[in-house]
Amino acid sequence: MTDSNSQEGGAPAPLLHVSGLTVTVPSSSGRKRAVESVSFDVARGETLCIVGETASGKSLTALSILDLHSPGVSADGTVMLDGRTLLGLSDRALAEIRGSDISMIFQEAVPALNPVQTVETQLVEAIRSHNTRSLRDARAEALELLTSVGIREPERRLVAYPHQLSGGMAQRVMIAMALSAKPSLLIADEPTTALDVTVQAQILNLLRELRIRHNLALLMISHDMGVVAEMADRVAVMYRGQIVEMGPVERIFDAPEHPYTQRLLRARRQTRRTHARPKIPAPLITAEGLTRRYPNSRRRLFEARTETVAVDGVDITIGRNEIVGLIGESGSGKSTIGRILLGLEAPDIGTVTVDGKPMPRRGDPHWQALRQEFQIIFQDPHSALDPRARILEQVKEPLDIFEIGAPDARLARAAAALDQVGLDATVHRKFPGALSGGQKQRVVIARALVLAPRFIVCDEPVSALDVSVGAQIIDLLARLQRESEMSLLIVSHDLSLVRTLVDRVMVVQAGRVVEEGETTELFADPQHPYSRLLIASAPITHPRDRRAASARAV
Amino acid sequence: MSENVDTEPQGLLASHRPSILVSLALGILIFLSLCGLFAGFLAPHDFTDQSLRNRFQPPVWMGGDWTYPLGTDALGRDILSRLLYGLRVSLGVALLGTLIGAVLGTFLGFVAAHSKGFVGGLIMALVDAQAALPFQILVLGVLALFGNAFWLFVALVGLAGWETYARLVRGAVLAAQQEGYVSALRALGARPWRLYARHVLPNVANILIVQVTLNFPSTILLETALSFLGLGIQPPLTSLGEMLGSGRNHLLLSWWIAVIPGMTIFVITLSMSLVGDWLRDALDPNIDP
Amino acid sequence: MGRFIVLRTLRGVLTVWGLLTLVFIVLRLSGDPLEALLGDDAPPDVVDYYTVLYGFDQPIWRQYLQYFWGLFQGDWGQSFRDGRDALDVVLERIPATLQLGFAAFVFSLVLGIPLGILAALYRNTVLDRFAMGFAVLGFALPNFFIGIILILIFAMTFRWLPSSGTGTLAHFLLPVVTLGTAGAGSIARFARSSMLEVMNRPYMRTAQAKGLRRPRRILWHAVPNAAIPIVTLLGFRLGDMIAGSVVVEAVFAWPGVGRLLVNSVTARELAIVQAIIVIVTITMVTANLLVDLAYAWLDPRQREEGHERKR
Repeated sequence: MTDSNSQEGGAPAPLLHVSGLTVTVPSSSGRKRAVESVSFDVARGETLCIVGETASGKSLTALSILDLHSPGVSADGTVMLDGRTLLGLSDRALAEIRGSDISMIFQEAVPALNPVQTVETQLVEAIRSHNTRSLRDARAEALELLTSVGIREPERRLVAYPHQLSGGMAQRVMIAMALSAKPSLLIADEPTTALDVTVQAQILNLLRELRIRHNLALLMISHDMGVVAEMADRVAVMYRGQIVEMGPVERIFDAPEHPYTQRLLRARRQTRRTHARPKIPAPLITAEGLTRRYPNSRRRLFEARTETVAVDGVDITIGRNEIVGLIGESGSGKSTIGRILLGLEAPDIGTVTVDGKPMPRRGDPHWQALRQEFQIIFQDPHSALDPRARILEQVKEPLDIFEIGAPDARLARAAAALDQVGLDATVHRKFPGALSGGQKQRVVIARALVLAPRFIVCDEPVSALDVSVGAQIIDLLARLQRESEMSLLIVSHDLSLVRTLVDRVMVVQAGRVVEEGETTELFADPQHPYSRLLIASAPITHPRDRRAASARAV
Repeated sequence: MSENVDTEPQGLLASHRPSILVSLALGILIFLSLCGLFAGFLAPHDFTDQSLRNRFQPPVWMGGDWTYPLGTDALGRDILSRLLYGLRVSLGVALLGTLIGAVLGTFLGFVAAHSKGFVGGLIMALVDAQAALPFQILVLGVLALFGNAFWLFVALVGLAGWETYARLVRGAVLAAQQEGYVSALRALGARPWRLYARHVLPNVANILIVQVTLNFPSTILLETALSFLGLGIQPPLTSLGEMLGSGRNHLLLSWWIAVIPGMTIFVITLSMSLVGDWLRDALDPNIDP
Repeated sequence: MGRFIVLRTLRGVLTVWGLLTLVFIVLRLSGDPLEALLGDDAPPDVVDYYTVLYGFDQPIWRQYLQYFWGLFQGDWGQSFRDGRDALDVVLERIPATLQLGFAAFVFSLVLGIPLGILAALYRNTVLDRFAMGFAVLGFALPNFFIGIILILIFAMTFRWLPSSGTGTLAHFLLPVVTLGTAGAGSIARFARSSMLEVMNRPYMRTAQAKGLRRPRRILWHAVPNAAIPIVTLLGFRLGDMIAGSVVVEAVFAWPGVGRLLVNSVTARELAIVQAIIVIVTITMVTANLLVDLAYAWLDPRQREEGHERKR
């Protein structure tokens, strides 16, 4: 029913036809073409994935179809639905098609819902805007729709406001709303990017199921080749505003033609790096029975204070020269564990020892000294650098803080650290705003490296970066670790990152370590149900694994 | 999502050329400040000299003569000379007041952000209290209690704006503390003063500059309003508000006595607002008005 | 919701108490109040008389309790000049001020909000320029100067409207415009920026993708969200309005509290000044309470008991 062959041979007219689409956006120097002569078709019931990285123009392409652009952005070219021209229609004429023949869902579902209206109000509005229904019928239909997108206790969710929903649930509501008028095409702009892996797997399953049930064509925008492998019949690869390659999904994965596609795929299929690690490494940090609770903020004067247990009885050892991975979903407490091991936060219960001695407390001179040896790299390189200080100055600053070496020797050391991460003198006098995301993350690494630390916690080091850039950063971390003999703790939700980089993995769920083991062994044969779920939820690497994966996830 | 590859923070002002209107406003402000500064040199008469024979002289364009270019008031004093001295006093008081408010508010804002305990709570309680009560009313209460004295008045005008600065600075510092670069430097064991002086202050400086320009007209208005009511600057000293206040009783016969200082106040606040809006857009496009 | 109201009210009472304490401290502790009242050359027996009368011979905590007990009983001190109860003197002036303030408030809302919303919807058009020009002028024109210009034009040159006093509807026109213009300007400006902000939110794109037409998107999705910040501004505007009424009442010889305040400050009628400050405080705290309630009514995120997200 949904086979990808139906559009080949060009027999029936496509459902959606896009040709010569060009989108211009305002920029500091007049106007800039962000999308250039993009053409593609989507057949009835087919799934086309447009894949590309930040600023490749993929989202602008998707927004052009229903002309949902922000003021100032303009689209030119041909967009046709079933032979009717869409681009250039008035807002009034387009309103008939939006949400009715073509619907759209977005990356962040919670902010995409009106915060001051209940789910029911917004669903009923969508239902009634394209079909004449009595209020009562529309309400009944809203309830049905929620049930059909797999929301449990739909009566309760109907009266909820968007901020009371989790990201996954809000995305289900968005899908329900999008399907309310039985469209023939659904445009999904990175619908699962903001979600945890297990939730992502559920939403992707739901989309697959609805597609078959309603014979829905799907135009999906993604940066994640794993999601593409799961979902696509055909793939269009966008790079710098143009489609550089398009074809059936197997062909793209098996024989990518364009160098950029090859690079994207290579970024995903990284081979495990091995490095000479002693069989039983001498422990650098040992922690036992870590527990950390946070008081919940009291919003009322006389409310009893409740607590959130972020870390709950965790034992962990980091060996010298070892790379350890902590994986878990958002809110699992993995970042808190990282901060405790660094000594930035003290556990409520439990002990941490460094080199066999207890971790010094904040304020202790030993604590200050430890700041030199233990470093942290944060998730978001864009905020990790002061926008108003020059790059070299920022890398030098740790040396200023610890007053290491003569002032001019410090500059040389900072330059050397930048060199080590692959940045030359041209960046020295720049401000962070002039650097790309990958370059910024290199600067952040250089700033950690300049003190020659023994231990670095990398908190989601690549999740804010594009895939191909992230792959380079992972390579860099692996190389640096080999060269300078230090221990790394990689805190991440990204299984593929953890799998390729670390020696030993700990799976964290709700503040507890539920499973721990050598990376290869744990991934090959997870024991704990949660580890199994996590690994099964991870996007597949090749479309041929598709059936097996969906069978596992159910 | 998109990355700014070409903007250095310093380049922002350059990319925001002032419009003709803003340039004009800047020119007017500079001109009026110079007039106030050199009032003693420019004034044709002593601004307190009374001449009962020459009361209610019209300005030159209404048939007056050049001895009194802008005419005279009810006591026969030269309006031009009074205007120059009034400018000096009004601009001076507003400048002093704005600076007092800015320095005090910025300092307390940093303190409030830094110490979240009792001191921080106390500062924020004061901020709330001041926001909850129209300050002009409070000033009147204090003036009723202590009587009017020039320096007390200046201090009160200065206190009018501090809470805005304190709130802005505290908010900006707290926001900066959430920034990755501050967390990163904290993790390096950098001391708070280093963070504030080298990383936070430069990043809030723009907000402060904009706030000063936006606050200045309010300060002028507070001083002139109180002086207009006869509760601010007291004769024999004069200010634009005091001139307007004493001129309003003679509107029917000699409207210029009130309108000339009134227009001057208006031109100052308007120019300053235009400059402030331009600065805000130029320095930080993300702030809401 | 009931809990929310009780707690906000409690906070309001605490604020009033804090401010009254502050007034007490300023009045009693900074300098000798009798010296301020009587002058430093008052005969000793007169000083003694007033010392006992006002309880200044008592320990400070007793004075504090007596002060609150007195306020509670409606004993807010007496006017020096005629010995009347300060509270009575103030209360009889309140209706005039309320009428003027209410009319001006309505004027600034009715003018400011539509102007701001239209300016946002027709951004960068003549309408927008006009609205923003009006907002800048409204802020830059001191209200006492607006008053004087209006009197010059409408009362003196054309003799259409009275320049002072109360009584007829015509008496209201000039003071209301004078008092309301600055507010209308700043409301217009703020309404414009909140509308612009809201129009860029993701849910507006969702509303568009749903197939809603522009008028419905604006009225059902943009305006309710933009109203939330505007309501907070109204709380602040009230304070400016009270301050403005002091000046406007002086300009138009309006027999309200503002003019009483100016006269009392000049005559150093401390009891009356204090009574006015206390009443203004209570008004402001009540207004802010109402703003909080309106806020919670408009924004469901504010009425949550706990704000944790459910997974």
